[in-house]
Amino acid sequence: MEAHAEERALLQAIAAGDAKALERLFARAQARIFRFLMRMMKNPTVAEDILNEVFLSVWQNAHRYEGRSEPMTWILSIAHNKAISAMRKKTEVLGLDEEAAQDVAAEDDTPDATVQKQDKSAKIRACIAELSPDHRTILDLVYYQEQSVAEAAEILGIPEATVKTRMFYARKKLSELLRARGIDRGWP
Amino acid sequence: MTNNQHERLSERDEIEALLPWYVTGRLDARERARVERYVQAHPEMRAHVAFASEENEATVAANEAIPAPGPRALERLRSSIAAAPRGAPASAFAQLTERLREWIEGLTPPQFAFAAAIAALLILTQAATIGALVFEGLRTPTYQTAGDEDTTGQGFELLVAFSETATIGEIEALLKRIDAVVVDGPRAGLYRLRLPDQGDAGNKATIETLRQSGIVTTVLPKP
Repeated sequence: MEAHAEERALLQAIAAGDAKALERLFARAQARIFRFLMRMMKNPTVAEDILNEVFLSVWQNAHRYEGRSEPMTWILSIAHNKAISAMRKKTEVLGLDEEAAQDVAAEDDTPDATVQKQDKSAKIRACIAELSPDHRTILDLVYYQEQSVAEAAEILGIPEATVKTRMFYARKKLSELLRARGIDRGWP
Repeated sequence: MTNNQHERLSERDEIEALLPWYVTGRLDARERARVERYVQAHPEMRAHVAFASEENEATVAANEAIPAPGPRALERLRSSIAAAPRGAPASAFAQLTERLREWIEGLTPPQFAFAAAIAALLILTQAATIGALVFEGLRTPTYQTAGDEDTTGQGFELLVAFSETATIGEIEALLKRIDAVVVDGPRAGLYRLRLPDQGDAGNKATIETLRQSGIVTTVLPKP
């Protein structure tokens, strides 16, 4: 909670034009936001470009932050919107449909999948990497970014009920992928 | 596909869906108690709590394995903010427009089509409702000021266009504020307003009020 208060104070300072406050917020949040973008975009150059856009947007729009959500939720929401926009442009330019994009994502993750085949955690990681972007993102938001149901709903722009059902189906799919790799959880 | 997954889950599946938040400590007290009651009554669910913990560890490990961006990222951000204009806080209307733009950018094509249909309906509704104001104005041929003074033939007229996002409540409040009535429109998207003549300075101030309202996109003198 104290971290949230500091981040709120930094956003207030940024809204007042304090560039040093932006640098402090960037130092605190850049790794989390960059990882979130990397998991969505699968390309470090693209993720760095969007990271820059996200914090530029924070600089220009900090005065719009109304304090109704936690600062990290607000920033993740900006990051998600920009990533979705970039993915859509990529699809328009390259003509890749969502399924093809998912296949590319899965191929990109193959090295991770081949590491330590016997290790259960590695198998879970490999299976998470095989999930669709929507399913992987909900796991990342909840497990790594530690967002609540309401916060994930705000970031993704979907109702809370959909967040829960999306998580349910993501975990169900994960169990199926794990079973195919020899780990039967007995569910679903 | 995942956007359409709204069907209701069974109680067991709902508990299963909540387990990720249970293991990260992000459930509210009511839902946390609900999960704990269910797990206590169904001991086989303990294994599922363990699954969620394993997923949690694997997801954190996968994220932590991604290196943070290099020091160049901060230098780049410094250059970007030095080059980016940073004006005064935007008006509420500009903020709303920007949020709408961001929202539209985030829509999938089917969502976009649905939103476009809703937007078209809202525009029609706005036109119809302002039309009702015109009709009301025409039923009262004399110009009425707040003091009910008969000012037939007095006043000056302007042509205005309202923002598509303006609500009828906002329009009514604005018209009341400047003591104006809608007497005709829309023609080419413009409504004809009649206002009390307050002399050059007063009329200019009224025009400025319209322009600064955030819900008027065009103000023209009536030809």
